[in-house]
Amino acid sequence: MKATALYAALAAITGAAFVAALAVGYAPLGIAEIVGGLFAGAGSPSSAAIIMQDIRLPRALLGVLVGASLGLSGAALQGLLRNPLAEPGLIGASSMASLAAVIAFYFGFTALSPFILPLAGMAGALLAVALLYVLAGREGSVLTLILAGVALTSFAGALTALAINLASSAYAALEITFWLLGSLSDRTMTHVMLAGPPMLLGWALLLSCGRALDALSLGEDTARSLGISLSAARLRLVLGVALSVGAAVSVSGAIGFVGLVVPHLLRPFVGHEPGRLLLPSAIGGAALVLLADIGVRLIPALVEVKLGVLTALLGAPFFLVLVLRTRRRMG
Amino acid sequence: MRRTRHRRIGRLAAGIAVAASLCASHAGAAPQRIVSIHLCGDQLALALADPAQIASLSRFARDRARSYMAEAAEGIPLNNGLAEEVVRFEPDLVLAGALSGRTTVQALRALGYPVLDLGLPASLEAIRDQTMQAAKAFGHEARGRVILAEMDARLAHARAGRPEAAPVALVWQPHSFASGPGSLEHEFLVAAGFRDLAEELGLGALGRVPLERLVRQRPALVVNWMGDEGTPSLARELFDHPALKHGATRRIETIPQRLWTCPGWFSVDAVERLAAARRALTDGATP
Amino acid sequence: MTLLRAENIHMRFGAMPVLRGAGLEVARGETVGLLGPNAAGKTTLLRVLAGLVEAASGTVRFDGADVATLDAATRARRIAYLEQNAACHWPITVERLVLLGRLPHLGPWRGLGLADREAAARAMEACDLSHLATRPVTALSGGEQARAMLARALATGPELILADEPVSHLDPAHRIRVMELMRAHAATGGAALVILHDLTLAARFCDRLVLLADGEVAAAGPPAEVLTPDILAAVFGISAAFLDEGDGLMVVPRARVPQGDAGGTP
Repeated sequence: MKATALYAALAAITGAAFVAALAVGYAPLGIAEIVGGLFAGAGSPSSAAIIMQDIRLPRALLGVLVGASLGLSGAALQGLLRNPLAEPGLIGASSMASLAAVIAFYFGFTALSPFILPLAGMAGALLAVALLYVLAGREGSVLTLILAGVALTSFAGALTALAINLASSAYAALEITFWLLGSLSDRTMTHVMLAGPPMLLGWALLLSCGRALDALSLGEDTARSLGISLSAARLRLVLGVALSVGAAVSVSGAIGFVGLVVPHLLRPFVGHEPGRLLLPSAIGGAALVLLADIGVRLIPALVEVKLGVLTALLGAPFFLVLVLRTRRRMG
Repeated sequence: MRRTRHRRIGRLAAGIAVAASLCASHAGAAPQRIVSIHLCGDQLALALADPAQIASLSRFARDRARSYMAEAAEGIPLNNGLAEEVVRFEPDLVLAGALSGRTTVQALRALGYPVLDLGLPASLEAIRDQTMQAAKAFGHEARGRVILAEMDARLAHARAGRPEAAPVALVWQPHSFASGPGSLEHEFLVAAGFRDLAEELGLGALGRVPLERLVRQRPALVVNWMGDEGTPSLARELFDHPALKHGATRRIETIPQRLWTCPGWFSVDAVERLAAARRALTDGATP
Repeated sequence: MTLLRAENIHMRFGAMPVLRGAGLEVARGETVGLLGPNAAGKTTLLRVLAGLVEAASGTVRFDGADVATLDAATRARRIAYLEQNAACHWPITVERLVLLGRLPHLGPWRGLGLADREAAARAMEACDLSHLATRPVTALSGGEQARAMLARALATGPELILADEPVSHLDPAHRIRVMELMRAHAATGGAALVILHDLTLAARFCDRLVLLADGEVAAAGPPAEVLTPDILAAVFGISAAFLDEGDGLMVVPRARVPQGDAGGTP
């Protein structure tokens, strides 16, 4: 019953944020225009229809998809590594996915097929999560995890810097830099179609791991003695994070801290159980990214503040507090 | 020892000569070993100096996508714009520009080489000034006047036949930047017979027009000034946005990179392209 | 009736042999103590018996079947494993922790049912935890946590409990309580194999003891036959005081003696 209330509250917030994301934009539209534009027949030449269907709807849909992917991946990684600091951005998955996407884009591989971009993002994220698991997975120590994440992030950062260095022009270098900041502006339905299916598949894999994550809160031996196949669960988790984060990053760039903040805020509402945290974190992630993306559209600035910059500004102090609190508990 | 000293004195003398020619605007001893470490310098040297005067050009000089004078650059040694390469050519005039490393320029100046620092012209007037400045420095003032006269003739031709109700156009870039009054882009739009949407929205040289506002305003033409032919870029992706294809604008015109990376007299090509687009738009509207 | 039989188990970590032909039997209704000095291979043997690691050679048969061939869910329902220093990484409530013991009973699409909640309630009742049901497990004392872990194992409703030092952090009363629970479990047709360091506890609450040293079984049998001065001196290198007031043997370690010297004092 408590769970139902939580889901209802989260769904209401996310629904409201979705509607707000459709209502807020750079062109002031009245309610009639918003509704009319949204439901106008395909190919309607009215500017309200173009704005609603070609600009705001894909942006809001991607907000939901990307946010849910990040929130869910954060919750799943934290459960797998038994560590509240695990987050796709902090452990290097996002930066490796960004790197792979940058390489695919600027070296012209995406010209071969539009599917190359999400595929590259997924490959990068997969590499990162797999490497991280090898480096820091088993013992679940905070320190090793963070250090391994720092190492991976710096490595990906160095290679991205190399890509910027070797970029064909100063302008391309600038584009890469901006893209890395993470944004959902002016994305299209094509992006939704390309990145949506792998994200949904990733969610399915992650959501199927709830019981394994619950069992893992008692340690690996106990989890296995409870009949959980850890190797299968790990594979599903690693693939699930790679698919959802990789595809998300390939359309939005890196948007950090969503996977850290959302599970942390929701954990008390689900009794701290890692399995029951998964679905609420997905919904909460969608709400957070939608709200942040409304925020960047409302901040008056010559250049739109990038979504990833806003989430980092909100998330980094949060991370700091969490580190201090974790250290106190460990110490 | 002695030779080096002679050289250094020679170099200083040449430097003084250039400085004199730049200041007093009368041709002294024309430079014989021009080294350009910048794409803008390449264009000016190739158009205004004798090939024999040019010792080396920047590594982009032969890149057809970026260098308007690429063909003329064949056979001339290239450099990567580093001080030690430049010194090897023993230049009596170095052409540097806005994007050259500041440390390189300072190092060359400290070594006593005369450096002509070229800015990026932001108006037709600035293009005229820069062209004449370089022409004088090379000792070919007359050539400068000739190509500028040609430019002005082409501008006049592009202006011809402007309709009374000029169509509205917007020079648009990724991250929703738009070029307005005070920019070269604006001047080109007006020269080609358009009204500039950025001006009507009250924007300055660099303003912001998000895609949604663009859709709302429906300019007849959207100009992709940062168009990068051939190489993949987010800019190109943006101009493929369905919102632009579904009727937000009637035409998208891409200005090739070689016309905007280093604007010069040849950038009048862009005005001609825009004028042609304007004619296509207004002709298409009348019947 | 033998529930668990392990024979000739060999196991090495790298070049170092950990188990060298160890074997033991646990019958239904029995509480068996597994004793031995540090690094004797007790935990490794228990993990082999639980099917968590595979031995290099040897057989482990549970109720007549090779434990390696049991499917994971069946094994999990029939054998509960209580890890040494078991801890929970998240502050979940005691009730939810105990309910984790029901995981092996859940089908892929079936959530917790009434039977599961009743089993958890019984296990909490047995471990004297009912009043702590809604407390976060990480906020409990060491003894309460250990009981919660035991309740989790009991909630599964296993036949065999394999427990690795379940009493090491407990006060005397809770030590006795945990051993009583083990005996109660055995009395209802199950069996328990418990790693212990407390010799008196082992002597008083176990039906049989298995003494492991250097990966081999040094002695096995009823407590009085295993806990003798000679064996304690040889295996632990200690002398001990033995006391029997008619309600069970008490063994109190007294002093270290040179290893291998059979110099126990009566």
